[in-house]
This record gives sequence, structure tokens and C-alpha cells, in this order.
Amino acid sequence: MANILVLGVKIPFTKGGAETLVATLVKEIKARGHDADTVELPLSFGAKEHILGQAALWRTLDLNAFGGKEVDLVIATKFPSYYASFPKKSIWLVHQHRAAYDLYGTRFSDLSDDPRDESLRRLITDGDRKVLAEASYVSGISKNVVERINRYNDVKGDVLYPPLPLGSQYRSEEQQDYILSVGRICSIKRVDLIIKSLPMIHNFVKLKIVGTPDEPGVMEYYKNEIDKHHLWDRVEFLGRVSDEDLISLYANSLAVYYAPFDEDYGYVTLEAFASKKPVITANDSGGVLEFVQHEKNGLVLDPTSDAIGHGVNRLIEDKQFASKLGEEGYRFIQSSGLLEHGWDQVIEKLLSPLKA
Amino acid sequence: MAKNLNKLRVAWFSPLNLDNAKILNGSTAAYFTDQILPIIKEDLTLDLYSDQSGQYLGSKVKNYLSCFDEHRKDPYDVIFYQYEDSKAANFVRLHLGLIPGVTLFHDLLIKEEMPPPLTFSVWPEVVELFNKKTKELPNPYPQPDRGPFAYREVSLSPISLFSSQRLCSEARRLIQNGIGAHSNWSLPKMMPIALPASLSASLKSLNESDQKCNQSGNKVIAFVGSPAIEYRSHKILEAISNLNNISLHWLVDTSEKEEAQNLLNEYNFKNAKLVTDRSPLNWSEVVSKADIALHTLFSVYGTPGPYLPISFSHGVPTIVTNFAEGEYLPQDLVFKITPGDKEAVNLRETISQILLLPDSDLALIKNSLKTYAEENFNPEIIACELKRVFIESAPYLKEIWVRWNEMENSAESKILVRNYDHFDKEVIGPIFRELGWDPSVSLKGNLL
Repeated sequence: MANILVLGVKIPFTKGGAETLVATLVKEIKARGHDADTVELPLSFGAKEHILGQAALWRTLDLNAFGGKEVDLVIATKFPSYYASFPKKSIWLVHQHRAAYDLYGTRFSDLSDDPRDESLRRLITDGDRKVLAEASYVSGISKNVVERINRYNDVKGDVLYPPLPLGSQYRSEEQQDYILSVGRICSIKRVDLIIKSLPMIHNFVKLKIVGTPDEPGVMEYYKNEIDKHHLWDRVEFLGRVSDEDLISLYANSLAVYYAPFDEDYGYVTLEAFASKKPVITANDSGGVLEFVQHEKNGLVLDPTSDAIGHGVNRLIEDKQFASKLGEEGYRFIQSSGLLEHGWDQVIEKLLSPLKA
Repeated sequence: MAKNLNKLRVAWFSPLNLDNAKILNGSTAAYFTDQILPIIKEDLTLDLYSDQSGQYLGSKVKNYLSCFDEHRKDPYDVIFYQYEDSKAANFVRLHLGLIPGVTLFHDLLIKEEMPPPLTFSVWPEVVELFNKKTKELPNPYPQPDRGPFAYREVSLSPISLFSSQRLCSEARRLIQNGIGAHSNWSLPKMMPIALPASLSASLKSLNESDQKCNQSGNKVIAFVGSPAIEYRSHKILEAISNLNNISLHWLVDTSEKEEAQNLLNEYNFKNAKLVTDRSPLNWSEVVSKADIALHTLFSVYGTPGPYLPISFSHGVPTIVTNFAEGEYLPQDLVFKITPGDKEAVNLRETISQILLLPDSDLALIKNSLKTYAEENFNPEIIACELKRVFIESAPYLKEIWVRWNEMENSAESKILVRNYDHFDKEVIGPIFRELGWDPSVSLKGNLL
């Protein structure tokens, strides 16, 4: 039995897939007879250069022993938790500070060609390269994430897809006339695309949005769009919901909209498949495209309201087609090993430094 | 591989037609690289940078964001960028503001694939700071991108090349205050360089096209352009719809094919062949079989790109619009049409006139076009010109980079000092030093 710490990064008052991943990983490690706990530090996005100090703080932590128990292994997840220094360190990378990498130069990054920003970007990439290379084992939650560290930091890693947190509890029920959107509400998730497409979608179709905002001004922007297009009775913000409610929302939806920009992984895709629902996504949605195939188990569209609107109408007008896509997604998830039993392989790999 | 000390070390930034990949339609930069790089690569030590992953001419393409580290470890002699009105070149636009270099502009006014503004960019202040006109950058970083995009791009390029005479003239007139503006360097800071067109391939097809024209009863008019109004396809169709024994071979983007077909239907013009994938390679194929080439762009934006040199190199009598780029062409080389009310009539008359020319006159035209192409678009000559620019730029760029590095180092120090001010210096100090984030190492200037 080993004592293992899972290192998570907490952005207070928000919850997303990374938090779920950390909690589920601890639970699954414990279920295999080890002792496990989380260590979390908050990350604030105030002055952007302070990200360096926040990363350095992880490296100041003494993680060797707690309560008389010697720690055998740490598993780092999200930036900057992997800056922690420990003799046996596994990394299951959720994502790096993407503003310095793939998001650089897009509207989703606050770094520009200002010499100070360029220096900051360079310091982050230098630091990442050093601390990623010192790990005993490196992996990422999707091909997209692993390709990024290979491309930008010259570090190789395994792809370990996170199994679904609610395993095989998902179900499918009769389709109702709503599209479901699940996830943190922020600009990179692009919920605005489907809100803006609603005027061209048949007017009996509603949009249900699960998730909480984690970006200043984003709700005001969405509400303005809703006012502008007179969509008050067609868009429903549900906030954070219980697991049971989420399963029901998936089960009764017509389809699931999930079209973030260059997503790392996205539980939502697989939750939709487990609920036999097609996924509507965009051709620049990154990790989502590792699973969604156009007209096979979902629709892969241009990231425009126009394309999304026509795509949704297509599913509404041909519900059999929508069901067929959903069934195909379900077949995929069943054969993928991403239901509960997929955890065996993930944990075996993450704990592999213990054997060394 | 051992570094060859006699060869210039060049970082080459360009959208690329990667090995075993689909051709980037509409990328003049990728075309230029295809034409010039194979000639020039033996004379240089080259690293290719792009936002694409893969191989080009058997070499691994490096990610553009890694250039900074590479340049820091082992400085390049020249960093060469190509910039154009295409999403494929967006990464070039980003990097132009990170390390100055020699930039070849294929477009100056960017509109087709309007890139999003660089949020928080402070480029006018960076130029001012570089030129020692100010001591401070705005703080905090509040500035959105400002002004027409190419102002920023040309301002940040100490040496600018233009693949169009007209763009070069406009840039000289409009953009006088860049980071190269105040140097005493003897080489011009803005100069044109032509787009290449391979002559050997053209000469071969020239003979073939003669044969093909004779076999076919119809005369072939080749046209490259979108069905959008500025390419004048509606005027072309109006002009040729009443002419007999004419075929139109029209090269369009795949996405424009339907619109082009609708336009053909509108003018009830049956004798047309739509060729999709608007690439220089396809144009070379199309125009090689033509009796007349049409380059009727009428727009303040854009240029005819490599398509015009290709038509010349095939020796095909060419009609252009007497506007913008067309105005810069020799009067006795091409047939010029003035846009406006009588455009279609003039176009029809000019086409008829060319088709009625005796063989001896046609031979003269072909010969003069071929000579012009040999003198202006020969890839071997252009490669030599570019290499000369690199050789002459290298010492100048070194000067620029000394000043640029001062600015960068000062910026880095500022960032690190702000961290020391905010966090407990005793706690994070040793970690910063371990990670190489040490202001005492990087503090070499105090510009900010």
C-alpha cells in the first residue's frame, strides 16, 4: 500500500472537469487499497506576471510526510501543480497555461506582442520544460494535450483518457425538444455560438445550459444576446446541478452541444455518448474530435452560429438520424474502456514510478 | 549536423505545402517557398518555422514559438518572414512582433482573412521605445490593436520586401516610422522582389499548348478569380457571351464553384469549364492551354499574386485591368482595360482583336512576354536577389537585435521584480534562481 498525493489547482467558486478528475482519481486510488489525498493551492488570475510566483509556490511545498505518513508518490494534474518537486512525480496533465502556448495570439489569451508578455511567455515555457522533464512519468488526458507538450516542450507522454466519473449510471430516455450544453461558462467554451444560432433553429426547441460562469462579464454578454434575439423563453441557465439531475438532463435531451475552442478532453462528449446522444461540435474543438466523427456519432461543423443552427435543425427534422448518431456514440463508449473499468489501466500507469 | 561557418544561418517563416499534404490554396507565401527554397537551401543553413507539424523537403518543420529559444541559444543571422492575406500566415503576424527580421509582404492591406486583433498589443509604443522616443510602455497593458494591420507589421520589420511594385510604393509613402526608420543603413529598407514563375515548365507547356489549341476548334480564354465583383467575372461573361467559338476555362476556389456556375447560368454561357482548387500549379495547367489570359482584378485590396507571372511565363497574351497592380505593367506588354461603363465592350473588342492577330504578331507578343518573364520572374535570379538581401541584412539585423535584446531583457527584469514585490522574496527567490528566472541574470538594461 502506498501513500499518494494528487495535486490539484483550485479556482475558488468554480468547478469544472479538472476538479472532478482529481476527486475521482483519489477515490479510485483508494478503492485499490492505497491511501490517497489531495493537495490543492488556489490559482488567481490577477496580474498576469504573478503566475510565475504562483508556480514557484508549488515548488516551495514540502510534500514528504504528513501525520506520520511518508508520501511515496505525487500525481500532478493541472498547471502549475506540476511545479511541485518530489522524487517520484507522475504527471497526468490536464492542461498547461494555454495562454502561453496554443492560445497565444488568439482572443482567448491575455498575452500579446508586448515585450513584457513575450518575456513572460518565454519564462513559463522555460519553466515548464524543466519541471515536466524531471517527472518520473508523464501522461496527458488526451492526444491533444500530449501532442502539445511534445510540440512545445519536447516532452513525450502517454495518453490516458479519464474514464467517466459516473461510470455506467448514464441512461437514455425519450427525446425532448431541447439541446443541452454542459460546462463552465466562459468565452473559450463558446456557448454564445449556439445562443446566437437559436433564432434560426425551430422555435419550439430550447437550450438548457448547465454550469457556472468563471469569467467576468460573460453572463452579461450572454444575457445581452438573449435580449437582443428575444430568446427569454428559449434559454434556461440551470447553474450547477446534482449528478442525478445531470444524468436526467442528458437522458432526455435531443442532442448535446459542445463546441469549445481546442478543448483538452471534455467529459461532456463521453457523457453524451453514454446517454446515447449525438454531440454537436466544431471542427476546431481539439480533443472533442478525438471522439466525435461527423455524421457517425455527431456533427462536426464550422464554428459559426449559422452552421450550428443548420446542424441543430437537421437533427430536429430527422430525429431518427439523431437517434442513430446517439446509438453509434453509445457503441463507441461501450467498447472504449472509458466506463469504470478503464480506471485500472490509468492507475497502473500513474503509479508505475512506485515500481522503479 | 555540424554548422557550416560559411553559410548564413536563416530562420525561414512561411506557410508551407508540407510533404505529402494538400497544397495550401491561395497561399502566395507557400508558393514562393516552393519556388525559391529548393534553389537557395544549399547556400544557407536553414530552419523552417511554421504552425504546421510535419516535414518539408524532407526536413522537420519546427514550431514557430520555439524560434525564440533557438535564436537565444544560437543566434540566427537572418530571420525571414513571409506575410500575406491568409489565415495560414497568422502565426507569422504574431511572431513579427517578437523578433524583428526581413519580411516579404505579399499583401499590405489585409482584408480577405481578417485576423483577429492582437489583444493588448502595444506595438506603436514598442516602436517608440525602440527608437528611444519614449521611456515607458503603457502600464497596465490596456491597448487594443490599432490602425490598419500592415502598419504594425511593416513598422516592426526593419527590412521589408514586397512582391508587388505597387505595395512597395504605397508602403514607402504611408509607413515612414518603423524600427528601421532611424538607422543610417545604406541598403533600402523597403524594396520590391518579384514572384517567381518557373520557366522550364512553362516552355515545355508552351509547345504543348500550341498543339492543343490547333486540335480544338474553340479558342480558350483562361480566367482565375472569384465570382466576386472585384474580379469582374460578370464583365467577362457579358463580353464573351456574344462571341463565337470561345471556351472559358475558369479557375475558382472549390467553395466558389456553385456561385460561379450560377453566374454562368445567368449569362447563359454554356461553353465554360470550371476548374476548382485555385492554386498556382492548377493555373499553370489551365493557362498553358489558353489563347488569352485574363487578370481583371479591380480592387484597392490584393494583388494578382503568382498567377500573372505564370501567365507571362507561358507567353499567353494577357489582359489586365488598368488599375492598381495593372497600372505598373509596361504598356506594350499587356492589353489594359479601363473599368467602368464600357468595360465589357472594350474587353470584347480586345479579345476579338487578339484572336484575329496574325501568327507573326502573336509570336512577337509571346516572345516579349517570355523575355519579360525571364528578366523578372526567373526563380534562379530571384533566389540570388533574396540571398543578397540576406547577406546585406545580416550585419544590420545584428545591430537591431542588440537594441531589441536590451528592450526584452528590461521587460523580463520588470516582470521578475514585480513578482519579488508581490510574493515573499525569501520564499520564491531560491525557486526563481533554480528555474532560471533570475532578475540579476537578465537585468542588462533599464529601459522600462
